[in-house]
Amino acid sequence: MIISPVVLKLTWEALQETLLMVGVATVLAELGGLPLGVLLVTTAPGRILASPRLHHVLGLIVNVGRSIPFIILMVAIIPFTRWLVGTSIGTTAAMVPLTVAAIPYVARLVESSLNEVDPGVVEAAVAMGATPWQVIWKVYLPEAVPSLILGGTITAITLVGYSAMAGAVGGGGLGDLAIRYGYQRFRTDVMLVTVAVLVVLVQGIQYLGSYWARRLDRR
Amino acid sequence: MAAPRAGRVVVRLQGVHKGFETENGRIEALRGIDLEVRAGEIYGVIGVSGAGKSTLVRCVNRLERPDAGRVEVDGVDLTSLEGAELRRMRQRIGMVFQHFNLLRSRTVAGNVALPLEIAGRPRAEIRQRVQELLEWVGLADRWASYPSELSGGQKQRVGIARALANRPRLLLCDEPTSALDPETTASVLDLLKRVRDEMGVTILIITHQMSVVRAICDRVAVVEAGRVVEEGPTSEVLVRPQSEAARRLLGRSGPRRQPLPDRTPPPPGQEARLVELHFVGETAKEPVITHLVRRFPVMANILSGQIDRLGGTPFGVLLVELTGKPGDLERALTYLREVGVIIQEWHEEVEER
Repeated sequence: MIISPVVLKLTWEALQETLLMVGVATVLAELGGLPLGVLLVTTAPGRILASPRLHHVLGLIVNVGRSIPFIILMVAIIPFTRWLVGTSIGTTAAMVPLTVAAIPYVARLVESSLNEVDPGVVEAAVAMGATPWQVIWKVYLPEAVPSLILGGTITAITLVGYSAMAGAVGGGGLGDLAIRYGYQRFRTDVMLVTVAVLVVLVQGIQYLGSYWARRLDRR
Repeated sequence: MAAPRAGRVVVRLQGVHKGFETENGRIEALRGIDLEVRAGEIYGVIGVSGAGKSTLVRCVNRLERPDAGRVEVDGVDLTSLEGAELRRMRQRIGMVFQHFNLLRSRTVAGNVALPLEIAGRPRAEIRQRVQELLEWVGLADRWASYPSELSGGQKQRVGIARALANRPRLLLCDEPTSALDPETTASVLDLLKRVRDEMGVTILIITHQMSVVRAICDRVAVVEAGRVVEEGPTSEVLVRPQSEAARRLLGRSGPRRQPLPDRTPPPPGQEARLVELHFVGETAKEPVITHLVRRFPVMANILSGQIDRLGGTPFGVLLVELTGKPGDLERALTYLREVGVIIQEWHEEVEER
């Protein structure tokens, strides 16, 4: 099978769109999800900022956010997207629902990473007279770094999958290409190329994430 | 070897109660603890696991908040402290943990620096203090290692260096040697002793091992079911345990349960006295029995004995039959007391236990 230069060009453009959408959404979702995850952990009963009510409310918000199917969320927040970036169509517009959907996801991943931190180490810092802020910055986050990186990797790969659906708002990207050309126009060559590129992309993200996490793991 | 008893009170617990809600109902971990630790002493709290001793030490730096009672450190009642005041107090109390609790993401130097960073010390001072402490615990060459590259004993040395970083006057040790093998235990206990001897730091040490108490504690409290059942100088408690709990921890119904060998009756005009002699610390290194029989016209027949050498501190028990004229016997016993031997007289009914 010969792949035409046109297909290659389409694929290359779609790859750039995917990387942009996923990259920006991952970074923004981490920025939003990290503090939320930290709060989920530290407000739990018996922890440094124990506040059962806040913990409960945050948990509820995160669960509601995670219950809504991405395709529904994307459409539902169109007014918000338009207000934020001025349009509801295109790659930039797709970043908004991707980020919003990923924030509660990141929060749960961060929560589970921080819960792996040895409680004894946290207690040692408290016994030294550390403030909650110091415990978070000097103990929880540094101790969880390898696990947080692996969590970020999972988020990025999940967003690659979600970004395929962003085609519904004209977001572009590899998934969109596969659906519109490969599936709807029966272009098997386009389908195969995009799927192959997606496989390589996901493998690449996972490899980088695992490598980076291992490099920083002092266990 | 005991520290001067005149020292001011550093830690005072009065009527401390602490309970926990568990799935199986409420557990009373502490049921009215009274305790005084004086400046410059190494004070042991011993008990089996579940006796409440860990909760006790955690009340001293308010990792646990007592339900009732007072906890004073340097005359300040910690039960009423909150926020910044509590944190400032905690910076002045070092703590050493059973499982070391070192940050695995930080090097040895980084771990020792942590309490100094928390206290907001300037960078140059931190570097100098870390260097000084690592030299003091003998790990200066391992400053760049991560905890995962260290042995258990080395990790605990780092833990001790870290606990001393802010120059505390009080060091709390929660089972500091329970995760270590006997040899490493001895070296860590030696280090703790140096902390007291060279830095004058008061130490409160929690343990379930009588060998730890024997090796370094000046005084000891025996805790059982949330109460102090016995308290006193280590030698007293070791020699004359008053409580069942202390006797169990000593595991020493030892020589008493062994049948005594047959003894020949004393010659006419002489008397035989059965005594248990306890040697603690320096006296155990002296040839006391040899001196005794050379200086007094008495015979010493050793019936049973055991010598422990734990943490570099010898501790021995000899069951001896002394035979001689009554006056000579008295003088011999007086001599033994003078050189620091603790004497317990044996009576026939004791043998029957």
